[in-house]
Amino acid sequence: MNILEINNLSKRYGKIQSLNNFSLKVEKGNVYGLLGPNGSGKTTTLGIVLGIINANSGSYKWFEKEPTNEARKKIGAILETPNFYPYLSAVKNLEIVADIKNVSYKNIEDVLATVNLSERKNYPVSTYSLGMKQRVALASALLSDPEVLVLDEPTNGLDPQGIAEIREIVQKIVKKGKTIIIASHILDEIEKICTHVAIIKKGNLIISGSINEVLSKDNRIEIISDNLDKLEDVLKEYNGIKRIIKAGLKLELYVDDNVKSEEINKYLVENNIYLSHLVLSRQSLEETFLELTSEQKK
Amino acid sequence: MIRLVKAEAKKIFYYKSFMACTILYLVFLPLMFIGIGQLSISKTAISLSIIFNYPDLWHNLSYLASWFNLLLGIMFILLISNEFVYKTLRQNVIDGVSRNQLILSKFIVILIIAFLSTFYILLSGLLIGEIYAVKHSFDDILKESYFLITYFIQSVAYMSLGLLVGMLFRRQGTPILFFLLYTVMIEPIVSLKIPAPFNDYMPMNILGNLVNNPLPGMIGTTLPHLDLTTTIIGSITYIILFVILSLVLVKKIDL
Repeated sequence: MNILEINNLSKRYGKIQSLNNFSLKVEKGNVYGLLGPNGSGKTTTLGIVLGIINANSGSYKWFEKEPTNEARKKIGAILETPNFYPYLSAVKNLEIVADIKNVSYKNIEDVLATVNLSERKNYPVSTYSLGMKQRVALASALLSDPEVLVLDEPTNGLDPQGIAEIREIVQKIVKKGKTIIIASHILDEIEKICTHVAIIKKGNLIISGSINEVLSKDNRIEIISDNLDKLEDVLKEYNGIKRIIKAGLKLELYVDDNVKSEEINKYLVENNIYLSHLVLSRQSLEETFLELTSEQKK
Repeated sequence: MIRLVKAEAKKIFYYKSFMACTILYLVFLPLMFIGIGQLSISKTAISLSIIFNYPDLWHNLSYLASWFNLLLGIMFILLISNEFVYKTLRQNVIDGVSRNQLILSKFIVILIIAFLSTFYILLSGLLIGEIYAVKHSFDDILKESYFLITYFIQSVAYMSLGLLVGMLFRRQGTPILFFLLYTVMIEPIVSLKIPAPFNDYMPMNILGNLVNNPLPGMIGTTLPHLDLTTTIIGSITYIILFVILSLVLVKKIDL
């Protein structure tokens, strides 16, 4: 079942195109990472599907239905900073969330225990550290035992210990088999917990798919010939090439393991293209990410 | 919806500034009544407590209390701007409140606060009547008690305007400043430029007319004012307008 389906969403703030024809499909059980640098449109995307930002065009569906506020009750979400009534305690804040989602107060103790906040639960949230607030936010997202969790930069601004705590909690939730959509600019975070990833840059979807597909330690082949456009056209016909990226004067091919550089060379010669440069290299995840989000993109 | 109103109650009940205002209101309103009752016009034996005779009591009391409706409006703005400053309105929507429910639950809170405050004036009125009024017959008490209803409409209207202003500015301070400037300065000045009888239909004028100044009536002169039915219909129209505009606004904005 599709948990979330996004079709061609666009959002413009004045002159800035924050989101451009963005589409994505999240299936049940996916742990879907939305990866991109700051300001790439991750929060805008999540804001739209969570009903607080009006899109200029495009549509989305939750649970294969047109979105309503009832659907949002089945989603546990934190967007950007944790938002609470600072003068209320964690318990009172969660009671308000329970009232909105129409669930019982019984779960409040449990979710506070899950995020290790039982001790301070009756103090006003204004006395909490950022890490604790983030944990209350997570508790509030878990409160209705939702089918899907949406987490936007859950470790942003936390110290290393806070980051570790949040990750541990998220890992626990992942093990329960819940669908999670998590936005982050930290590759490491996505890589550690996600099954799928979509990379977004300046409001454009660059690539999406299973994490192995997208961030695999791909074989990369760099090639140069005198006519790159023709080279690219010819290579598009070749099986086993996943991506072609134009990097300055050379082309970078991301290929399956079974693709051999000599076979590509032979194929090109058959098509009357002679290479002046051919290098095979393996690539790290960081490199892939930086590559995908850097200026060169074809 | 009941649980949403319950949630609203929690937001208000534990909010110290709001409760401080409420206590001020609860304490100062009867103090003001009693204080005025104790006054006498200097060097004459006429005590001001004559204004607390039935049936005039309801009119005079509502008029005195209606000054506190500004406070109710400001208190309500405080609640709305908090929601924007804390970004909790957006969290409420993320958690599953629809925008219609958002405005509806706030409006129900307005009705509840207005009802409580009207009820409080009813109680104070009965108490003060017990102390100062000369006649106590049931008929005398009941006569002109419709001022409680017009007072109720007026407090609903002030808070609905507070809702709209709060939604319009979405931050702390500015909406309260605007609310005060508008009610006590901008509209009175604009009203001067608008020819009669149209200026009577300006929101603050028509709302003020719900519980008009009883003094001219006491000394035997009456100013040309709209009749009660027109005033009530006009006021309710403004309330509906304020609420609908708030709704349109909240649907349009990104929270």
